[in-house]
Amino acid sequence: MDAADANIATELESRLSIIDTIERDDPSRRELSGADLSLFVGVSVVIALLGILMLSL
Amino acid sequence: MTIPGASGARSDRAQLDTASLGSLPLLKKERIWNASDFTGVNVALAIATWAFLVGGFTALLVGFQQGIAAMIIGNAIGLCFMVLASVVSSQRYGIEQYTLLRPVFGVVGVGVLVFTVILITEMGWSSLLAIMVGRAVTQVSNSAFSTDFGPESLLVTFFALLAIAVSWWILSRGPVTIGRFNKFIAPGLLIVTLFLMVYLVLNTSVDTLFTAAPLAPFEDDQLNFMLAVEFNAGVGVSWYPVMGSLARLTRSPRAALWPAYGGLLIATLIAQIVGMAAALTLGDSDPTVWMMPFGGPVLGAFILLFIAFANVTSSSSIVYSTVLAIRQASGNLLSRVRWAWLCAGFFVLPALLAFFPGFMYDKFMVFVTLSGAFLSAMCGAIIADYFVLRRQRVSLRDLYVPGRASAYHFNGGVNWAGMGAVLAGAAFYLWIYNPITLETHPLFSYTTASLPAAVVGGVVYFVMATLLYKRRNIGDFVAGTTAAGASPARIEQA
Repeated sequence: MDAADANIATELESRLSIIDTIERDDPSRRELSGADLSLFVGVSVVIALLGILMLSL
Repeated sequence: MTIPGASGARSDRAQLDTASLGSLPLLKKERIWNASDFTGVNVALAIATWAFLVGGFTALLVGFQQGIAAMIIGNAIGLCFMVLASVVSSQRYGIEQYTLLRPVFGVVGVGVLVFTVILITEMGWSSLLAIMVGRAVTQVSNSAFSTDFGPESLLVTFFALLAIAVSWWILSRGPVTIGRFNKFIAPGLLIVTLFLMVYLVLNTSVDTLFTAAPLAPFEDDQLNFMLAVEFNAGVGVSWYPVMGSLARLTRSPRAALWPAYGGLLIATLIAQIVGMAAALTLGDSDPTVWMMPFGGPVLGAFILLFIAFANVTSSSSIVYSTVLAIRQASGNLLSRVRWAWLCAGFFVLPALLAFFPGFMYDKFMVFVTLSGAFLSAMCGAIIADYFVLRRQRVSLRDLYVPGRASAYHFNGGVNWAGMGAVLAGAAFYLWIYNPITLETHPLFSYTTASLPAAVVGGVVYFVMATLLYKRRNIGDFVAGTTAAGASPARIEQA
């Protein structure tokens, strides 16, 4: 391991520690909720249906 | 547009290598984009010359009304599973998509996919953009100096090679330089789009547009429409190699999900519809042919030269994350190769393709749909892994631990469930629709090929991963059950 590798390993460990502790419950790291996921897929389906509707105009 | 890795947080860590830091997880303070910022980034990315090209090529198959429908349906489908596969996890963990692929394909498996599917996809797009530069300059030359260079002449190749050289120079300077150029390229392309819209409104009636015949359709109308849908779905899913690297910079799941989908969808549709209208009006699918009739010799030449430069910077933008991925996926093999040489290596194949400008334009749709076959299957496997099997939980430490010590080592660094899913999904795609022979299964007329390929990829992944790994407590599918738990000491070995 050279100096550059050591720097990267130290930096990585520091970041993982911060994410594990300080940022653990931060809103930026929340998982996508089931409601958001359903809404996203639903909106995509509706847009695709609008495209089909466009054909019949 | 700002390129990932160009954030201010990096300035105090200049000693770290660009590529290495590019793969590390970002911290909250480095995640700089809110929903509005990210929408702007995606709009800037989507309003690019490739959107005109896709609009023009859609006009080969279908008329205006069917074309709009095909663009809406195709992009809605392709973008939906592309966003779910790349944006969501990259946002949550602050990591670009290729590192996050390790649980799905294994570190060696990711390398295989990066050096095949991703590399070929991005090389194809960058060679196409370079050839478009050559054609744009040729148009200017023919108009200004009354020359008679054709679209496949040596002059096209010469300027395509020059474009590749300039792209390499920008890319080798790093992400900050790319970001600087894109700051004025994106607004400029927005102005070009508006200019085309104004010209079309002034010179073409709605009736003319809606009654214009497609430029080079096949005999079967339904096949033409479904080919147009599939082509646009392929374009939607082809954002995969870029989006995770951008989404990691956003501050919340909602700031990533909707701006990625909405920004890309709306901006793409506007630019593509304008491109299709221009193609139907002028009877040519090549955007470089439109500008002279639209703008006249002076303004048209200026726009063409601007488009040429825009293509160069667009090429640098899309290639950046791919070259990063190549370096990461190669392990020790390319880690010591200088960034500039690595970038030069990427451009070798696009440079060779520049000698066949007609071939790249003729095979544009085949190339997009073929790469879409593999990317769709990949997205299906990724979605099944991240949302269904892992319930959106990935062990960050294990992503970075090398060799057998990682929970994501699987068998020799390959998650065979992921590789099997990609092969099965892509094979299913080609069974439903073969872009080379144009043979189609009746199912294609109702489902497209991308959507079933993604579903097959997802189902095959779920079954294989459950049987091969989850039931044997391999791969950390159930939190904390894998024997090898990553520790800081093992990361030191990375």
